[in-house]
Amino acid sequence: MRRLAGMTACWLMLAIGSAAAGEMRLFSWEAYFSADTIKKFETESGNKVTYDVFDSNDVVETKMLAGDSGYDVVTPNLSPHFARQLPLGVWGELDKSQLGNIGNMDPVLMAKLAEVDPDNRHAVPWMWGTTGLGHNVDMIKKIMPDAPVDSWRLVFDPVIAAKFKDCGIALLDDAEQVLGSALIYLGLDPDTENPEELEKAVDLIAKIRPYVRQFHGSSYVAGLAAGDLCIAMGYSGDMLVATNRSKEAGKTFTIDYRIPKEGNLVWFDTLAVPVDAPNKAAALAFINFLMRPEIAAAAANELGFATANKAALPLVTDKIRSNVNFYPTETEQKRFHLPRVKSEKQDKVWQRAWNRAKGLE
Amino acid sequence: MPTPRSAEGSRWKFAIIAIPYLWLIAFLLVPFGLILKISLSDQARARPPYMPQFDWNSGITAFLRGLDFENFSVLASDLFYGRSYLQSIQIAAMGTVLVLLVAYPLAYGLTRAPSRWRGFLFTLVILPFWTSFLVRIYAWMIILKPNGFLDMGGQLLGLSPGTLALLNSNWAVLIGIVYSYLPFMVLPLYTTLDKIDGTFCEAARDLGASAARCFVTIIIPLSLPGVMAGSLLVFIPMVGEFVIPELLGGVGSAMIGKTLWTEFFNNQDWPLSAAIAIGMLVILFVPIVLLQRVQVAAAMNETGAGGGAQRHFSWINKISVGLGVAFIYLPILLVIAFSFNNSRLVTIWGGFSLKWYGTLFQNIQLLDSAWLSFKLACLSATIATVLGVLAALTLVRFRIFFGKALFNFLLMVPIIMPGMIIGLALLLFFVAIGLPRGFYTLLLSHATFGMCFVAVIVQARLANFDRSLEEAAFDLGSSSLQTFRYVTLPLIFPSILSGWALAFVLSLDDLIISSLTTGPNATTLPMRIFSQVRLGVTPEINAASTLMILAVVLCLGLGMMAQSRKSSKLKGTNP
Repeated sequence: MRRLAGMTACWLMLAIGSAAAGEMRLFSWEAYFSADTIKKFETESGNKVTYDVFDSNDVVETKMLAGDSGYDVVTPNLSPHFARQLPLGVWGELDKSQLGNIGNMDPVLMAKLAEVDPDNRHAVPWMWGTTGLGHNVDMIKKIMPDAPVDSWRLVFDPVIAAKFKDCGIALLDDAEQVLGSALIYLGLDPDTENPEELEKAVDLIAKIRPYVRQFHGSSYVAGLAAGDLCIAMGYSGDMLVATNRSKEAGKTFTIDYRIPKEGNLVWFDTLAVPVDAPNKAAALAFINFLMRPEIAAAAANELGFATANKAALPLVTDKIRSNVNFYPTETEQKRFHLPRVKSEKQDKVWQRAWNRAKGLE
Repeated sequence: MPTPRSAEGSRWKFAIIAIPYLWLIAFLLVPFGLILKISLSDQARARPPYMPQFDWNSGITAFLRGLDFENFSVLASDLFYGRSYLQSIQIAAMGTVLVLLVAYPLAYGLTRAPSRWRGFLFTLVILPFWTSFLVRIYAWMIILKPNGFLDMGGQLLGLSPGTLALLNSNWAVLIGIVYSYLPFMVLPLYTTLDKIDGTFCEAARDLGASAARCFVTIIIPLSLPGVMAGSLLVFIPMVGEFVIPELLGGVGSAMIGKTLWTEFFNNQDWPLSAAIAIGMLVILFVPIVLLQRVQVAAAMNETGAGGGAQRHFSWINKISVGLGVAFIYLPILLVIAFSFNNSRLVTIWGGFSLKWYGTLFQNIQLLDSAWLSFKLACLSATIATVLGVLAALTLVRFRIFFGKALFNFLLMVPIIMPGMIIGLALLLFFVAIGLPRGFYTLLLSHATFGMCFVAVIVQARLANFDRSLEEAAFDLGSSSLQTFRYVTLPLIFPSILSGWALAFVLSLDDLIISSLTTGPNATTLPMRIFSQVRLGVTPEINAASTLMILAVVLCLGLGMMAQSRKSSKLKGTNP
């Protein structure tokens, strides 16, 4: 009995003391940094990095709201996620004196973040991108040579979507992203609180639902890469990742990504430190390290998402940087929309609308 | 432990009861109390996201006033949740019937096999279920996917012109469910069927009944307890199933497990999730009570003494065993074969290669997770075994003590309750007491569900064990401890060993409870495989699965060899 008590005490001490200095715990999307970035930081700083991955911002929110997540650096989406978490005291203030490289960041994007987080006190931007449509060029050509690949009509027009039923259409499983995009396509407010407008978006999705193979947040990357899908609604850089994976697999088809001409949703992923992070010093060192131009550029080249680091832009390969679908010009950016934070009640209304759109109720 | 007669005995008695009892109260009863409490709270933009949170300053009355039944009225009035429950019950009911249809001929065929084959065939049927559950679901994904093996086979045979694309449909969910739950049906059926006295049928045949008539009028009615136990044992967890519909299901399937997951993770509505979990318990109340009645432990443990008559292994039996074994092994063989595939594509053969084993051993993350899972399984199974043996002793040896019914019930909880409810309860508990999530919370969780399985197995052994042996030891003057060490323990040792093995495998295979209770730097192997399977499959997973299957076959093979050597030795001394 005494031994058992002793063991219990040992565990508790280990559990509490396990976040000793020298360890930095990162919580982010899978492979969201260049392949050697983590190793470089480890050798340079002497901190061991633990890199855990999430596959949706909801998981981040759950962990943060539960408290004591144990993570030091997290990459939450700016709006609505980070924006609604900030007032709850989830994120700690960044000590700017430790962030010498902050001057490298794009001032326009910093100003955008400051609308949510005044003076950029709690987060700096990492990558940003758009939500649009990726497609398999060869498969589409075979079925419909004049398919409107630069328009939401490709999936939201039932006549067109029906043609691609057999080769596979995937949509995200996310109320705000899919209903928001449908509202943009319909020319309505993408954050609407008007039930009639929302219902129009629901009807739109319900009409094309028979032609959709899957609603899923992330599996479309593999689906596109394997040729199991020909159209996928998803995030800009993922389409480049899908291209790279299909090449690795020896596939000969081409995957392309287009920003829909009707407009689309935009997102920004940030670097933030939980208020209860065990190793804040290492967290700041890591964020500062990520803001180096060469580190940011390496990630931008491998992942295809747009870097928020202005000093890194000259290091990004021309092929990616000149592609307006990955690095949109100001003309395109005018059509972008950043989702707003909704009330809890509206979030529920949207979630239920999304259930109806998917035919669950 | 021997009957308490002295002060020494009662001290032992206290310790034996108290340790597992307190553990169950701390890690099951309190968490479930917490679920109940949260289900009566309201969602809030707060941290944690519900109100009221207990606060010593405002006092208990203010706290109690904040509780209400709103979430339950939402559940009752909103058709969405009702339909979600209903759909889960429908799928579970269909799944149960299908499992029964597959398992019955197989189990019956097994009992009819010649005795020298029976053990081997039985092991053959059970063996795959010691390998990773996720790997088996993954095997079905590559069979059912568009242009997967099923479609290719159909085209070869000229059966279907195009693609069936069963993946992402309710049919795929049913296939996955039938496949995964098969052993839980085969096991009780086999033991019940094996116990049926063969002379009954012989007598009927002598009186002119046909083989079919004998089967319908004698075998089936006598096997009903096994059918009942098996059906309940698969139906209850099927209702709360999450992983299978998530991986194999498609648009429009909203089983209650998924609905709970969505409310918790997507909507951050913890109170409503807690209410859904309680709703699930209310729905499962009747089957759970029935299950306790049918005494699964007895149905699953006792080996049959039936027989007597010559058993005839008819061609129908042979075909049903053959088909059953093919159904069980086909997916696994495909996984193994394609681990040696040179191509990255999981359904097209590109020549023999070992390269995926090479990349596997360079995948540090996967190896780290495998090591973590192994450590976790060893440690948690060991703790679970100690606690489980104490719990079994408590149940069998102490007829009356305070709260025995509660103790009994708590032990049943992890066996019958969907993992998601247990995981949620434990997570909310760890959050409430402020314990940082990580390896140790995983260990506590796994030890808790493991101990209940160990307790059931050891309890069955203790219940039919010759007490006079212990009494003889006492009469010869040995102390309680000596008697336990030299008489009781060796006699129940095989059941302790199989309990440990079961706890080990359950821990190694757990996904849901682990994903809910883990923290930084504690990603278990199933969690890693699950995210990879969801995001995109590489033959590396095939290679990892093949190694896992190999390890299990080796362990079981060694175990069986040791057992058979031991039993042949016994036979040698006892002719």
